[in-house]
Amino acid sequence: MARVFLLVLVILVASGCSSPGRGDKVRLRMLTLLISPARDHMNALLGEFHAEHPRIEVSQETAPGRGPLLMERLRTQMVTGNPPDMFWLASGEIARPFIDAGFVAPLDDYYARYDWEKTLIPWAARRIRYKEQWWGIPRSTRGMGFWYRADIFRRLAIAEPATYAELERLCETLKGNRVYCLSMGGKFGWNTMRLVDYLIEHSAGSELHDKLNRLETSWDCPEVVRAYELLKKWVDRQWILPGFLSLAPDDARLPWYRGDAAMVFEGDWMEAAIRNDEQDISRFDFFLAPTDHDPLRFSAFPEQILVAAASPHRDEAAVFLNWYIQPRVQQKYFTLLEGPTATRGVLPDPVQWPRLYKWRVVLAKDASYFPTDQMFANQLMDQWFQVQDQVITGRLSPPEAARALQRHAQAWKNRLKGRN
Amino acid sequence: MRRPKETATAWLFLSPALFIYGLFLLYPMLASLAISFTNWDGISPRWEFTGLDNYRHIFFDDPQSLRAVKNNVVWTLVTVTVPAGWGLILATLLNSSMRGRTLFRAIFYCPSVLPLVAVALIWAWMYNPQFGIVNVTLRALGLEDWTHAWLSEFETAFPATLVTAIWQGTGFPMLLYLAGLQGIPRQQYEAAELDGAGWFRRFIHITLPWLKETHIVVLSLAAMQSLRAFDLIYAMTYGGPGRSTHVLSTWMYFNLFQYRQAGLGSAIAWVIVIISLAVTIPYIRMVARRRHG
Repeated sequence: MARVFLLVLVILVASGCSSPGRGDKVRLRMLTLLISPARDHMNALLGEFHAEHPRIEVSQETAPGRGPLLMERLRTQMVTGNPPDMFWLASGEIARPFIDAGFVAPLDDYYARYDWEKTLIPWAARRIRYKEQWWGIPRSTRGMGFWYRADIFRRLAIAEPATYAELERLCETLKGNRVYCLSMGGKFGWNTMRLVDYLIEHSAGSELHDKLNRLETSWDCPEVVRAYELLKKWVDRQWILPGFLSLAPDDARLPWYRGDAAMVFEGDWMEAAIRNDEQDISRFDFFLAPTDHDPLRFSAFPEQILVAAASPHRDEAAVFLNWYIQPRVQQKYFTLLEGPTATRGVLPDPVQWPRLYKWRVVLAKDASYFPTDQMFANQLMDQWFQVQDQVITGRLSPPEAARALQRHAQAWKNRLKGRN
Repeated sequence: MRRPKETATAWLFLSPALFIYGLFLLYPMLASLAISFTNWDGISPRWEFTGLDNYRHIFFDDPQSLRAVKNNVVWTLVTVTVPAGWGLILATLLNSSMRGRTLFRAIFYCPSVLPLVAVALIWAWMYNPQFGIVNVTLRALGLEDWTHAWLSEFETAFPATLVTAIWQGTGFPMLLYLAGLQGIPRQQYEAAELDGAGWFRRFIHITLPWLKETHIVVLSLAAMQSLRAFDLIYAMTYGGPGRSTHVLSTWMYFNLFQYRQAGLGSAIAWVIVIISLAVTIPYIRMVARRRHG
């Protein structure tokens, strides 16, 4: 009898634990990329949310470091049926495999319910649309340009260039003073890609550049050839630090800090990075790469938070996301969370964060182009990087590079057709 | 003849280990074999059976896969023979009663115990074109023309990673050869010396034959290790410049995890398995024969 009683008790306790009642808490998991101290700030933010929404608790899981680790973890969680309710990803091609595989919930209903478009920076919200739907909510907007050593520019009486010709003259002046114009880390391809993207924007203009990135026109065209000729010129004239192809992007900052090179092609995150590296921010500034086109477009992309299709608590996730993007929350936390916000009108203190403030003003404008690695699938992108390396090392001439790119693009399009 | 009860007991005791082995090793292996015959992308719930297409692609359609195979052959040949030969020379020298031999043994063995990623980072810094010790030394010696962007140039990147692999891989064979050398009876050398045999003849006719089994162990282990070469290349060059330094294992990783070609990546993994088995089976048979007399 005692055994039966015990069994009934165990079943009652177990059933009580597994079936939530009306007053029970909903627990959500969110996968982020943050490392300390930003991870701790995020936990503080989540604590504040929980205080305002006692029924919803969001816990943070982290895959620190750069994207690939997060991608691998996410893929494993998705395939094994244990995805986080929400997860951070970049935009563009990087998120698409998860959407195509049916692992991501569309958020159109929530955009309509909460009127998110009014809260978000328009280009950021537009950029994360895919197949005419919203699959995420932008959490940050990132922009890139030439960061330079203001002290070196002052010493050599160099002004920020307004045209591409002025930029070339600037590089020559620096070279004449035994300073490399640009330090880059070519090891993974994407750091060098930023310069190539810029040269394509300069030589092709906005319309053709966008068409090239959407694979709507041939890469074997004079404008692409011209962009690679310019890349080769940057290498051959030693405007870029020699041997940069094997350098990791973070290591490329060292010659810049040492004053051996005057510029790096980096993003708005550099103010925080410069401070973390214990450098004096007043010695550094940035300008947008001059394209000789109007409007002046710069390389930019949003990052987003997505909701898993398998999450049983999508409504609660939307409540959190709606709270998260509100200006008062973003104003308080965005400088602490390693990324400029995607919420309209949120600005940092211009005295405390002078460069980031400048970037925020720039990023509010709707004049940017996507970096190529957010437009192309990884495999095509690696072939693109391969061509880039071959031009730099002189293994391919610019016309051969343009032909090779078109060959890879066509093969990729054929593969996609075969898949569909 | 064993009684059925004994057999059942044996199976009972074996079953926990077999269960774990089956679940965590056998099942994933067979699953990856099955995936290698599909076009699965690693994420999507959909895939199609494609037969031997992935294997045909590796050997006949894809120049990059063939390049990885070629690089792997070169990598194997070099990392099997050079560290073994160099290890044998060092072991022979350090087997004498020279002063400080323990210190030298420790110095030469040290790289073998370092994590490969740490080794890769150290050497990547040494190869740094601006302030790496290799180019700085060459410049200091007035050999400016010999300096290179070692890991950035197509011609030098792969050989540069091989040098690192040799540096890292010499200590272990040296240790095995030292153990082997200490098993050779001293009388053999004394008798040969009395017969007038010089150092070289003693080495050829006594040392090398006595080390026959050590050679097999050293070469087999090095061959198996070489097929798993991943860390050094991934951390030093990331397969670049271009894709010129990929070997099979890094190419498998890129296909599986970066390009979302789980089918092709699994097929590459099985090519590695088959080559590894061709090396491993004779080694295991040799060890088993020795154990059973």
